[in-house]
Amino acid sequence: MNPFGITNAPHASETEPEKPQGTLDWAKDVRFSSWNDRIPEEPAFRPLPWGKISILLLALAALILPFLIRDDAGMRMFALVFVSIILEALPFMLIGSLVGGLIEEFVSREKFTARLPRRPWAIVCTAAALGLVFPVCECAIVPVVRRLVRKGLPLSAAVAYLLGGSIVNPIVGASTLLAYKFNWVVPGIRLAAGYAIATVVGLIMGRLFTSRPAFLEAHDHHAHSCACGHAHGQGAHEAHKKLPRRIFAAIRHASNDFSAVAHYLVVGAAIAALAQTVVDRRLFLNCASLPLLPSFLMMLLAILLNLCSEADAFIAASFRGLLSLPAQMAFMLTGPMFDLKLLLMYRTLFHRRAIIVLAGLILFSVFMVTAILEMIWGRGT
Amino acid sequence: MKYITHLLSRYGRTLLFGAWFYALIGLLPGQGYQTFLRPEFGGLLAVGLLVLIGFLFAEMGQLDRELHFGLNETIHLLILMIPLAYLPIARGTSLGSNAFQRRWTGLSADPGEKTLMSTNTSLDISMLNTERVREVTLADLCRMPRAYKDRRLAVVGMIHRAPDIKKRFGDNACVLFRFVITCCAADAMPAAILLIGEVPADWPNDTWIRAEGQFALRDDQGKPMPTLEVSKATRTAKPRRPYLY
Repeated sequence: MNPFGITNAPHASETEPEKPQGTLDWAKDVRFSSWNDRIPEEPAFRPLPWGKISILLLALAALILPFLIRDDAGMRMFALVFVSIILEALPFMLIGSLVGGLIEEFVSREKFTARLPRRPWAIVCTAAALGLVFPVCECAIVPVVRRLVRKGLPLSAAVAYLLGGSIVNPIVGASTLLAYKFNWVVPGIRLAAGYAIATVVGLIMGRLFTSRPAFLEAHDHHAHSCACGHAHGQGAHEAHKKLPRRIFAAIRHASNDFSAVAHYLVVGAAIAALAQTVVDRRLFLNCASLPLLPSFLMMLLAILLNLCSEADAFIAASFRGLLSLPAQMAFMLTGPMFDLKLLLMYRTLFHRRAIIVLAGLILFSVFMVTAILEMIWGRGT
Repeated sequence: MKYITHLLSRYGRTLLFGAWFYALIGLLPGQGYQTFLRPEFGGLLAVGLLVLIGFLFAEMGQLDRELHFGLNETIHLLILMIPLAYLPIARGTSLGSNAFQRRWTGLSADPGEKTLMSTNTSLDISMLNTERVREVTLADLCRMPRAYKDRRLAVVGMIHRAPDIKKRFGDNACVLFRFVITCCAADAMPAAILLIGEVPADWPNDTWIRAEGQFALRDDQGKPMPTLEVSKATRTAKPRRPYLY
């Protein structure tokens, strides 16, 4: 409790910047403005948060539904795919959150920023290739980037690592190579195009958001309200603290990060499972002979399926002989950078405006790459 | 309402992590997780479980701390509980005809498949020269159908009958399929061949069978189609591991 009787709200600011509650602020305003004999008018009508209430009811319905419909084949398939996506992503997300917590506790902002390259483009180019050294999948990368941003990683580099990390890495290269039966051209194009898109989008985002903030303010709020048990500063963390306490604090940060991001994974996984239960993949083959449309549809499929970047090459490869290589590449480039769960998870990091611009840039870049590939490669499968 | 909010603010996240811990610990020992993930993911899940235990202890170490708990936090908590409600339905099931219909992109041998050595397989080539029936998996058959051409094979899978298959290949044709998992059931791809011959018509979709017969690559609109001309089909129990990897 602060001197004004208002409880600190650590988790609210962890997840998204909570707007001040109307009644409480009004009372607070009255208390202080009364010194100036200016009494603000009490809001006559305080609308109910219908949006949130609807989401709450939807979540309750989703919780109850499996107890009502248990024996339907479609429901079983939905449940199987839904839980599979969650269980596959969960360890990566937990480990990613833990890495983020350790970064927060053990890496000082000054040291981190001092080690970054001086030239902005050099930071971006390095960040886009960081996945080669620290291979992470897209579920783990968001919590890590959240913490790196707090340590002073610039927007352009954060975007480059966010987009490049889950494509430009040896595990994804190896799985693509295996899926395409040791045809080195396919992983080569995938990694090179992924790197190029991550770098270009990172640089453009850095240029577009110079005056406007792209990151959510939660990262600043966090400094004052994290529930880890100590105050954060901009400088080095409390290095004098004993190691067990620091580890405990790191786990506490990780737990907060996980709670802030994981519900988006659940929502994304539910939509993906629904798409997998309903969408017939053969529909995508009907337009195989048309220019560029297959690429567009494969991008859509990648967004809907929410597959792990380490497995999506096998799905893309199943379209060999049916769709062109550029269309398969569109699928493999879009998924790790932008799918439903990532779109939702980006909400814990960026402002809505920044997400719209980022999504537009990613989709446009992938589409351009596939168009160029189609010009060079033709529509051969 | 205030009491519920108070309880949630103190114990909500502890309950959440506890519930997830209970769910994961239930999946690991009996390899129940293999309903969802490939076997190698067990280690990764165990590491995740350790991190979750850390989170649980961190929360329990701060039970006396009252945190703000509003509508947002309630929604997040409920959403994170949703997968736990679906877990019991999915346990013990496996993908079947329903998923096959959605994911199947057609029967044809891979045009890129040329040589035996270009694929990863445990196949012993010398075994192919004998004429006795050889047990193979659908995954091997689909990866390198040419290697098994004109051999007598036995293969286990589920059957799927569809009107378009009957229309194209006759009344005694159906598809034998099984799912191949890369990471999890979400990325499972069907490995399928065409069965032609004596498969009793009263066996419904998703029936597990062992089909024995001559393997051939039929020409279908210029594309080679892996086909088993069935001489003997027997019903069989669902394998302990229904997926291939």
